[in-house]
Amino acid sequence: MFRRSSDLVLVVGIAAVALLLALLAVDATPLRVAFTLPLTLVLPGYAISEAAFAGRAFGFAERLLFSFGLSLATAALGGLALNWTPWGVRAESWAVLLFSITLAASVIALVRRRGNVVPATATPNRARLTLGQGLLLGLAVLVGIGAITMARIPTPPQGIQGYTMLWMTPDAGTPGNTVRLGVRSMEFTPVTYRLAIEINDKVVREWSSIALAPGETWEETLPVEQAGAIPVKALLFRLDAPAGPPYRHVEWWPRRS
Amino acid sequence: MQESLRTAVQVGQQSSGFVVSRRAGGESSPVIDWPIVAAGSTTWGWLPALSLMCAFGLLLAAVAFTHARTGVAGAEPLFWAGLLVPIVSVTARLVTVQPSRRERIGLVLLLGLTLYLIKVMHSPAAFTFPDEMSMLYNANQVAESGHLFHENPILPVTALYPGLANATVALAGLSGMTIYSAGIVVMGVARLVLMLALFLLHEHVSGSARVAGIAAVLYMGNPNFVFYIAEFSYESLALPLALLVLFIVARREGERDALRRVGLTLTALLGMLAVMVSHHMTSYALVAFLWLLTIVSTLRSRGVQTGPRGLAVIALVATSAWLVYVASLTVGYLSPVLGGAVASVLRMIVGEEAGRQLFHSSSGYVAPLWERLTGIGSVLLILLGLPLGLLEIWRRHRDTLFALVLGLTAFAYFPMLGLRFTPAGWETSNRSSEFLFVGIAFVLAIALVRVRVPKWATPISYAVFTGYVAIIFLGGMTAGWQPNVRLARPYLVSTGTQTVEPPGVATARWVRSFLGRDNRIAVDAANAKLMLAYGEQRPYTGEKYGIHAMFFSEQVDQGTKDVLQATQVRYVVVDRREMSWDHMVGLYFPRPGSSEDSKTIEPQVYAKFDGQPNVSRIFDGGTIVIYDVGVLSGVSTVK
Repeated sequence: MFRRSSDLVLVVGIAAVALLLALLAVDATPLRVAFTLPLTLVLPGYAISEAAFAGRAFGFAERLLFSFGLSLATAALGGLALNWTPWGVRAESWAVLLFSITLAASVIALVRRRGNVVPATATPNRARLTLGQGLLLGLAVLVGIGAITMARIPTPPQGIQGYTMLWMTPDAGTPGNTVRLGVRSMEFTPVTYRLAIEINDKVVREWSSIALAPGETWEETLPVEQAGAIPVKALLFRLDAPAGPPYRHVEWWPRRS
Repeated sequence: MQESLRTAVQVGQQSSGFVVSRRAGGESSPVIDWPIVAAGSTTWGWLPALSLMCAFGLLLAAVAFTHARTGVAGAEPLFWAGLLVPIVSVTARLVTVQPSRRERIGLVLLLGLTLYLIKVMHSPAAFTFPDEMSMLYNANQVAESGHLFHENPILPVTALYPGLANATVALAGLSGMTIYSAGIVVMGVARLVLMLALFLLHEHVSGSARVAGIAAVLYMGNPNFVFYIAEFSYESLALPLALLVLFIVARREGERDALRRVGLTLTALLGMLAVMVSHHMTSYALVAFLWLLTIVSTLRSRGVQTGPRGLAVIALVATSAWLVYVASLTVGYLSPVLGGAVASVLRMIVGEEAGRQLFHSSSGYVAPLWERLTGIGSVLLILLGLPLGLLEIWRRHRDTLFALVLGLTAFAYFPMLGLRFTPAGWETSNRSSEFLFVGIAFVLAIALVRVRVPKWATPISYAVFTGYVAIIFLGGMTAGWQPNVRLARPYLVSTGTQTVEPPGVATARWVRSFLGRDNRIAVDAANAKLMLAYGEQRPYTGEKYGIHAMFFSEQVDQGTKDVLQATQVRYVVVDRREMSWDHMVGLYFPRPGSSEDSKTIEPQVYAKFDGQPNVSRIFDGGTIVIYDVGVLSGVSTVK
């Protein structure tokens, strides 16, 4: 009995679609993932093993091992080959490489299969699931997905402290002494701040109400004119706790001209 | 033909319908022919029901991790239950004679994948283990630049073994997935390869799917199985590939079909080269195993047969060439660890060094009584089983080359166990376990299935075997992973409308955005990983450059300036939390209600740079402050 080669045709077909999707840089939709994932992790190994053992194939477990394992090996080594080409290790070059390997190995497998007779006893029986077993498997998948979903839920903020980031950095794009000021709230509730800029203990500029929701950022640039080696200080206060030391503080020593 | 088939069925009956035939004369390693289908083996047996048990285990672990992140009591028992439910239920089935080969393979893959998913659920949003962040950096560099062999400032040697980066970047680039998602998938597939290769190898060597199934579960008792060799790291890819090679080589030995033998040779070479470019120690272990096969085969046949000599020679030449011409840094990386272990043993022998205190970690954790009992119990059970299994191998399998060599591999457990008592040798002993357990699991499985009990005691024996495996698994888990990170910690916090990252991650991203990349930064151990992975900086940390001593000095004295000038750092990142110096836990939010996580460094230590002339305090994130110390280190430009 001759083995049909529909499997190799399917392999090359999937690889071709994956190549197309990758070269067109289609958005990372489930469709793109569904085709490119096998191109990376299954198809090259399958094709290589069929080329290597055509007509003398192993059982399902061994073929599964070769498909995954040799695909990983191909990917591990493929980057080395691409590294030494002018195109480098890029998505497009990966797509071409993996498709080429899959195609070449499939062609070799096809040629080698011609004239090979595989003993009938080599074909394993198909697995059968009863209805009850199918339901159990389905339930297992649902419970598993539920577990992973639960694990991915971020922690609620109880017992954990949020934080605010304050910065003052020189503005490299501006001549002279100009600083970039910024406040980013990573608190868990909206917070209103007061920001005071001091030089020599004198407030030279102030923003009395900066309201930030969680995740929001406030930025400003500020030219600083002064003489001597005196730092510029930025003091951030929370309006819900106005008394006491600054919530955050930074200071910057101007560049000397 | 029919007569030989009947005989084959009788021979293979204990293997649940699997045919094992032995050659007449010469090399008598078992030849696995196509499985004869026995009655009932077309179904999946208990696999669907046990899938539900494994899913239930995942659910328990998910609840445990949720409790741990939120500070709710009871997380730890739930965690252990989440591990034990799958292990015990699957093992209880695998130790019996009922399952078909198909079911056994399915169960082994199911259990391997379940334990992998527990690791994924531990850190479902991002890579959080220290080595993972180094690998993340490597993969990102390859993805961004399109070239390999970038410098990794923290672990330079990892960039010289680009196998994992290649596979991950390939998948990410082709599919559009993030590096994290692609890495999770690649590691999941690697886990499947690991379990399948292990099963098929042990099955081929023993001639028994039952032995292979039990051995696969016993392998999970190695201390590094659940977390270390599941993490996104180069060894986690190389080890499954190495086992694939071993299976192919085992299959090749005694293969009479010339064309199939050529195919096996070529695929073995492909796998070997992939291992060589993926991880140093795994490639050396593979070379050693191949040479052990060659030597044993040569000795016992008095030179008539040489085993996989050709492959061993190629492996040695290729691995050496990679070491010499590409990855010579490996020598400097491994020498201190291996040399330190040897030196520690010698010092102990001559009495210059006291032994390591067992069950006491470097972070001060003291294992509770049940962990100590389990740890000791698992070692005793292994020590009990190994001689029995080795004897059985000598009696029934000494004609099988691979069985002999796996036995020798298991034998190495005894000296490696001794290393655990030395302060510097513990890590070497621990890191060898994922290699040695390939042999240990096989030998113990051989011992278990050869135990003869009266028919009425069979169920009891199954229960005892299950308990045996479970204790070894528990002992491995408690020995192999730092206790304070077994449970999940708070990483992402949700306000309902916004998800907040830990301060260290946000700070690293800020540094990348506002200070550019590749700045030299003096930083603690945990933030160093984050500055590398998310900030793309060049972190300096630890004892090597005097960074740790500099951080904990109370003044900006000459010693501080000397360190800054020697390292040429531009920025110092000060995290006032003590936990930031533990690179396993420092990147997380402090656990709610944890006094340990709330400890801070003395104010005069963390604030010593405040008020220093011309030292700008450019960033204040509460617990993390960044100073521009260019004036102290003499660095006035970014690069």
